[in-house]
This record gives sequence, C-alpha cells and structure tokens, in this order.
Amino acid sequence: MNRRRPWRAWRRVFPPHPESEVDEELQFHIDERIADYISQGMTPAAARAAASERLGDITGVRRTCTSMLAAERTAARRRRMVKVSWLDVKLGVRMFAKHPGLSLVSVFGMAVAIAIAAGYFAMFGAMLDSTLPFDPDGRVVAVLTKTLRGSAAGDTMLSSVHNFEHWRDRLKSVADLSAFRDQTRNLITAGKRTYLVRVASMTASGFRVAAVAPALGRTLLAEDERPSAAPVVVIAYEEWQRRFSGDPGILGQSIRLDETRHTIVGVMPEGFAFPINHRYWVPLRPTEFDRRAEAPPSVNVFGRLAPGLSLENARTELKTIGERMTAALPQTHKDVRPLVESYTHAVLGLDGPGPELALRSIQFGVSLLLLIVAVNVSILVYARTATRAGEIAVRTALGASRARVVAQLFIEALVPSVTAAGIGLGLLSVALMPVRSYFRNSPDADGPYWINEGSLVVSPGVIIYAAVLATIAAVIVGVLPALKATGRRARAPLQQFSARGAGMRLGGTWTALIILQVAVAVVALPPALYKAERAYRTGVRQPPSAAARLLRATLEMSRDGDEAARAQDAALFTARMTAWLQALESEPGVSGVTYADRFPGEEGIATVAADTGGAELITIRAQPNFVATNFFEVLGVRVLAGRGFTTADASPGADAIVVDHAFAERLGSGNVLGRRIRFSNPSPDGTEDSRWYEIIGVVPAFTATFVPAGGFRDSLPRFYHAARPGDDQPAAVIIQVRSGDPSGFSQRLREITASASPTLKLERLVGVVEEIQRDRQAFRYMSLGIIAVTVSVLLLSAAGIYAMMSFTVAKRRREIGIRAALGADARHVLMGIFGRAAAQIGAGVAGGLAMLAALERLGGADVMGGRQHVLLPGVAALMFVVGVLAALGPARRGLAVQPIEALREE
Amino acid sequence: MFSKDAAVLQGTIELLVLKRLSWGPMHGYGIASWIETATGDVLRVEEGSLYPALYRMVRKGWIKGEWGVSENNRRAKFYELTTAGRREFEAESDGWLRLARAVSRAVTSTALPSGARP
Repeated sequence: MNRRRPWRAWRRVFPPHPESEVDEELQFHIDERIADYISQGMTPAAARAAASERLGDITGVRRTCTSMLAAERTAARRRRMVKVSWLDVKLGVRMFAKHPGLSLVSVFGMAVAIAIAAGYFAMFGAMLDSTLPFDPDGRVVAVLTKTLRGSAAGDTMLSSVHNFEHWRDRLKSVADLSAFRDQTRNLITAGKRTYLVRVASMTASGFRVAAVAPALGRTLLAEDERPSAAPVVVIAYEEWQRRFSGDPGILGQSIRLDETRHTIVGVMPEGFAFPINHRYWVPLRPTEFDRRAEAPPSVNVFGRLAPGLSLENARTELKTIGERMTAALPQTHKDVRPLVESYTHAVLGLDGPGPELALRSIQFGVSLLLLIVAVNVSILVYARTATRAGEIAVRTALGASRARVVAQLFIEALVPSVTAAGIGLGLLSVALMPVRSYFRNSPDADGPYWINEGSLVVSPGVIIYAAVLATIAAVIVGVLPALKATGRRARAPLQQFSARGAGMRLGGTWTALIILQVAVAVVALPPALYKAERAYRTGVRQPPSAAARLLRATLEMSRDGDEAARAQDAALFTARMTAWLQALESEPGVSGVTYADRFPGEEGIATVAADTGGAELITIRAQPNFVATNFFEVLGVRVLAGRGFTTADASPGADAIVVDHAFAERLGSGNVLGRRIRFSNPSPDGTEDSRWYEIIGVVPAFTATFVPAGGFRDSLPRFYHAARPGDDQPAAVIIQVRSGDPSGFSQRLREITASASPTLKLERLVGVVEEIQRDRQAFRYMSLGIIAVTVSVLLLSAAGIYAMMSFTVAKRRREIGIRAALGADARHVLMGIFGRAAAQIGAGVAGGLAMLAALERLGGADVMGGRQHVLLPGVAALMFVVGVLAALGPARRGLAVQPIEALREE
Repeated sequence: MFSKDAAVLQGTIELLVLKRLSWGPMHGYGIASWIETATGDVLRVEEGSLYPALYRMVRKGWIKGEWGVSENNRRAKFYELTTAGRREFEAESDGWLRLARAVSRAVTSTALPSGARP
C-alpha cells in the first residue's frame, strides 16, 4: 500500500462530504467483492447480484454510517479546537512569563496604541453614531444654508426666517418644518435671583417633531407665536427641580427672562433638552424685519422626514425648491442653496460626507499606530522565534504541520495582545473618567444633550473594536514571524536540527525596519519631548497671585427686535455697560473691575510694521487687544517703562499703545518709548487702518499666566490700545473681589448685572484660578499621554536593537567561540558584536535628523520651540545610549560563549 | 451467521476487527475477507453490519480511518488501531478467551452435576 499521495493533505484540510465518503468506501467494497466473485468463475451480473446481497440493506448502512461520520467529524473538530487552543494558551502564558522583557515591551507598546485607537473610536462613536433619544432611527433632519461665494461661503446651520417660511410652505418630504433661535437670557426669579439660562425660541411645531409629551402642563402652541399672545415659557424638568424646588404649583407662575415676564405653561420630562442643550422654550416670534428676503440668517431649521420618505427624497425636493428660489430672488439668493442633513450630524458641523470621511480617515490613521507597534513587536518575536528553531524542528518531526506551528505561535502572540487590549481598555476607562466627570459636573454645558456622560463609555462596540485590533496585532506579531520561521527557506536546516536559528535570517527587511524605527523615534522625540514638557509645565503651573481674586466673564446684551433697535445697539450697550461698571464700582465687595476686547491669551493675530528707530521698518506678528485704562492695574501688572493708559488715551483718534516686553524685544535694543507701529494688513471690515500708533509704555509679557493653555500655545508679542466701555460687544470683563473666593460672588454679580439692565448677560462667568485649575488636569493628562507614547516608541526602538543584537550573537555563537579559542581579545569580539548595532543606530539617527530638518524647513513649523540645539544632540545621544543599553545583554552573552561548548553544539 | 444475533455478536465483530488491525492497517473489505477466512467461513459477516461497527469504533477512539491506496491501486479507506484500541483489544481478547475457555469447559464437561438424575 502506498499511503503517501498528494491528495492526503488536501483531503485532510478539506474532507469530502460524509455522504460521498461513505459512498466511496462502500463502492470500493462492492467492487472488490464483485472482482473476487468473478475470479471465482461467476458471471459479472451474478457477481454483482451476489455482492449486493452479501452487503445487505445498503440504504440503511449508508444512512447510519453517514450520520455517524458527520457526528464524529463535529466531535473531532471540537476536540481539536479545545486541545489546540488550551494547550497553546498554556504555552503562550509560559512564553509570556519566560521572556518578561519582551512581554512587557510588547504589551506596553500595544496597550498604549490600543488605548489611543479605542479612545478615538469611543469619541468617534459618541459623535457620529449618537442619536436623539426620541429618534433612534435618525428621521429628524436639519435644513442648512450653503453659501457658494463671498465671505460667508460654506455651510451653516443658520437660515433666514424668510427662507424658513418659504421652505415650510413648500417642502412635502419633511414634515413639521420648525425653527429655533439659540439664545441666552437672564432668568430673574421671584426672589430677584438671576441666572443666565439657555433659551430656545422655537416654533410650536418643534415639539411635534420631538413628539415628547410634557411632564406637566402643555408644550408651546401655534397661538403662542402670535405677537399679541401673552408670553409663555416651557421649562425643563431639571430646572423645575433645581430652581423651583419641584414646586407642584409651578404652572401659571411667572418668571422674567430679561425684561419680559413669561407664564410657565409646561414642564418637559427629565432628560429632555432638545433642540441642543436647552432648558427653556419660548415661542419664536419673528419680526417683520426678519421676514424680509435680505434679512440675515438667524434661525436653525429642522423637521422630521415624512413617513416613507428618505433623506435622498428630501434632498431632491429641496434642490428643486432652492433652484426656484434662486430664480425668483436672484438679488439675494443667487449664491445660496438649501441642504438637508441628519440633524445630529448638522449640530456637530458634520454636514455632508466630507467631514465624516475625514473622521473615518483619522480613525484609520490612529489604528495604523497599532500596526506600526505590531510590526515592531513582530521583529522582536521573530528574533525570539529564531532561538526556538530547535523546538519547532522537534514539533515538526513529531508530526506537527506548519499550520499547527503557526497556530501555536499565533496563540502565543494572542496572549500579550489580549493582555494589551485589556490594559489599553483599562487605560481608556481611566482617561475617560475626567471627561465623564466634566459632563457630570457641568449641567450647563453647551454640547448637544444627547452626547453626555453615558455616551463616553467603554461600550461593547469599543471592546469589540479593541478585540479586533488585538487579533490583527496577534496576526502580525505571531503569524508573520511564524510563517517566516517555518517557511521553505528556514525549514530544511530546522529539520536537521542544526545550530540555533542557523537557517533563519534577520534579512534586509528587518534591518531596514530597525533603521526606520530609530529614524521615526528621532523624528518623533524632540517635538514630543518639547510638547510633553510644555504640557507638564502648564499642568503644574500655579496661577499668578493676582488672579486669585478675579472673576472673568463676557458681557453682552440680548439682541432682539427690529432693524432700528439694532442700529441703536452700540449706543445702548455703551450706556448699559457704563451703568453696570458704575454699579460694580460702588459695590463694597468689589475692589476693581476692568474690561477688554478679549480676555488675555485669547486675542486675535495681526501683522504690524514697526519703526525700529532706524530707516528700516520691521514686520512683527503680534496679538493686539483693546483694554480699559485700569486693565493693567486690576490684573496686578506693573508698567516696566513709560506709563499706563489714561482716559485721554481712550478717546477717538488717540494713538497711544502699550506693548509687552516680548514686543519691545522684537524692536531691538534701546528705548522703545516713542517708537511707532502701524497695521500692515487691512482691518477685518475692509477699511485700512494706516494710522501710526506711538508706544507710551511697556508691560511684562503676562498674558500666558492668565489662561489655562497659555503656557502650551506658542505665544506672540502683544500690544494694547485703550478702550472705552461698550466699544466692543461682547466685552471680556474681569472683576476683582475684595476678599475670599471670587466664585462666591457670582450670584451677587448676576443680580447687580440684571438690575443694571435685565438685557445685560454675563456668559462664561468663572473664577480665573478656577478655570486654570480645571484645565491643568487636562494638561497633566496630555503630558502623561505624550510621555507614554514617547516611552513606547523608545522602548520599541530599544527592543528592536536588542532583538537584532541577540539574534546576531545567537547566529555568530560558533564564530565567536572559534575566535575566542584562537585567542581574540574581548575588545575585538565586542567590536564585532556592536559594529552592526552601531551602524544601524547611526543610520537611523542620521535619517531621523535629516527628516526632522526637512520637516522644519518644509512646514516652517516650530516643532521644537527653538530648542533644537539642545534637543537634537540630546535625542541622538539618547538613541545611542538606548542602543548600547539594549546591546549590552546580548554582548555579555557573546563574551560568555565558551569555545568548547559553542563548537560542540555544532 | 451472526447477522441474526447482532446485539450479542456486536462485541465479537469489534474484537475481530481489533484483532485484524493489530497486525496493521486494513480497509473494510480486507477486514471482512479476513474474518471470513480466519473463522473458516463460520462467521460469515453480513458485510453491511461491518461498516456501522467500524464507524462506531472510530467514535469510541479505538481505531482511526485514513484514505490511502489499495493493492489494486484504488483509493480505499484504511483503518488502524489507536493506542486506546490496542489497550481495548488486549482487554477484550483476554475476556473473550476466559469466557470461551469457561464455556468450552462447561460444554465439554462430563462430570454429572450433584443432584442431577442420570
């Protein structure tokens, strides 16, 4: 019997159907019996009949055997799986423990990469896949306005009332087309307490879109929208509990929103904050001005897809309506097109496929990080596999197929990758904690209410994603080296059970990968170290002592009403802000109040031409601000040279500016007082400000210390103009309390503001220190994150070099032995071992430095904050140290090679 | 013919199969032919019953089947003993021999049992 035929392996992997197998076996039996009978002298027909009779009930036999074979196959598969996986898991755990260094490096690298990728996946899922609680199928849509040309080009959720009403009257594919205005108002309760609240001025139909019944009373009605109707308000359950202590008699009570009294007619159920994150709903009452075709966009439009119709249907219909509108109103609508998008996406600014595709590409890019780590780890594992050549040879000799060996190495790789996924998910849950606590502690947060604490969790989806990543990593880490180690080229020497790994080579690909890895580490390290250091410094920086008693906010006036009212806006705001300042100055708890166009650290950027005292003008990119004359005094900033502002400096036509120390330094040496600057680029409104401004004072570069991110962002020089109250709306205001915790003064401050004018609103009211403290934590996390990624890059580079060195020593064991036997001294042996490592590290460092230089030149990016003279040599030295440390162990092993033993192994 | 007493003789077939395979792998037809010859045609297997027995023994883990090539150069399924099968064969054949000896002794006994009337 010849039992070695090529189909054997094939049939073992893909056995025929049980029925066919049984048939073939029985057919063989019958044929043999017939042949036997014929040889005994029977005719073929008689032989066939006799053979068939001899076999008996062939149908029954066939049925019984088929079912038994099928059952056996299933059982065998199950046995094989359990046997393979359990044994391999045990082996995997053993290998994990046997090579703790390699295990730690690979687990750490993969855990960081999986945490980052899964974190992004969680965020991405929270954003893209979240739905409104009352609309799980995503039937609620937003109608956006796309502007084709001009300064407003782009998509916006805002549309004009005119367009809204036009669409509402025609659009059939979107039912209950509704609109809301997102506003903030001063809520003044019966006890004269004032709170800043977010109000949706919404059409009554908006509640029909949501189709959520009120917990108490009613929602808004179409009659409420009539100008003559009595003002009514519907409030959120949370506000009812928080502000009105859940008073059961709340319906019919009145509250003041700015100047207007509204009667509470309904309370919405818990958790309802549609359309974005609103707690108060009042009827939308557009003015005649709003209804004109040329009125600016002011409302957000949304509705629910009509039953049976899709987003595509709505798009087609809206396109036709838009084209007709353009034809009818070419003056105002020639560049405007309506768009319809998923509501949840539109609110997040994810209109159209572009942003979504961008997000998905980033997701892919983030997942690549793991791929890079996995490839790195696979180099290490390949080197380790090389040292296990003997074991693989024995297993193969004992009958293990290549698939079996590969499966074993895959499971071995799965042990660290699954461990890494577990740790990565753990890291992610820790990282998500502060974000969740932010959501939990910020009931007045601005984000969409359906993306909340509960959205940012390690959901089953995230776990599955991490599991998929872990499996992919295990395939790369385990299967690639295994295929290479058991491949045709490596197998022959393996089967001869020759010297350790003699048949395996760490070829050009691996060498190139190690060089590339060192280069990537060199490119990544300086910017990473620089950013990590800055993030850390920002994270631990103490706010200036002057900030301890400061409250910051933006001051704004509710803007409603018709055109005439808007024209008077500026004058009105000046008057009200002046009254507000006076009220605060006479408040005993307040020791100072000041204002600016922007809060320090949040200024815009301008380019100015500065007179350096010579013939040449120099160009400086700087951040201008318009500040109150007492601005420096309240912030505790002393004037270094010259003088601060006086009231005269704030009058129209005044040309005094104060610059900070960074700005003065850019002007060069000498006295900068009296020098002049002017704007190089036209001001945003198109009128070129070509006036010269004269420097009258110099202050320290203080802004960075007042903003949470101040230490992290690259800072530009600053200069200041003097401003009067109401020059800019909204104004950044800073209030200094006489003593104690400034946030304790918030409530009183709101009351003073409301009594100065109910239309004045203080937004983003927060203690300066409180805000800095809150963000410091984020910076510390950021610094930790950068350090973790950096360390993992470093560790992987070190591990790559270590693996390469170990491999070299293992392969050259015999040669080292002979050289030692021939009396070569240790230095020569060492040089031989280090030579290759040094060449690869050198090539990697050189490549990395070249890439960095190219990046700096191409991008013009200041990736190292001007510290390249320290960072570059430092990183090069660090890589060499890491390389040498990684090479030490293998080198020591190389030196310890006993000539006799090395030769005997052969 | 043990086709009539399949339940009783199931163990016998299994033992005979184990015996044949203890000499080396063989296909079903070869096993059937051997049984026929070895038992002097006394135990002429109704060949249909042999295959369920073979499959049952595979499930018990006593034998395993593998496709190979027969003497006539045809594809055939060869069965061979597993370690468990070898153990089983030793145990079964011991038991069978003891039983056969005992039955034989009883059947060929000439001593009159006590209390029996001649």
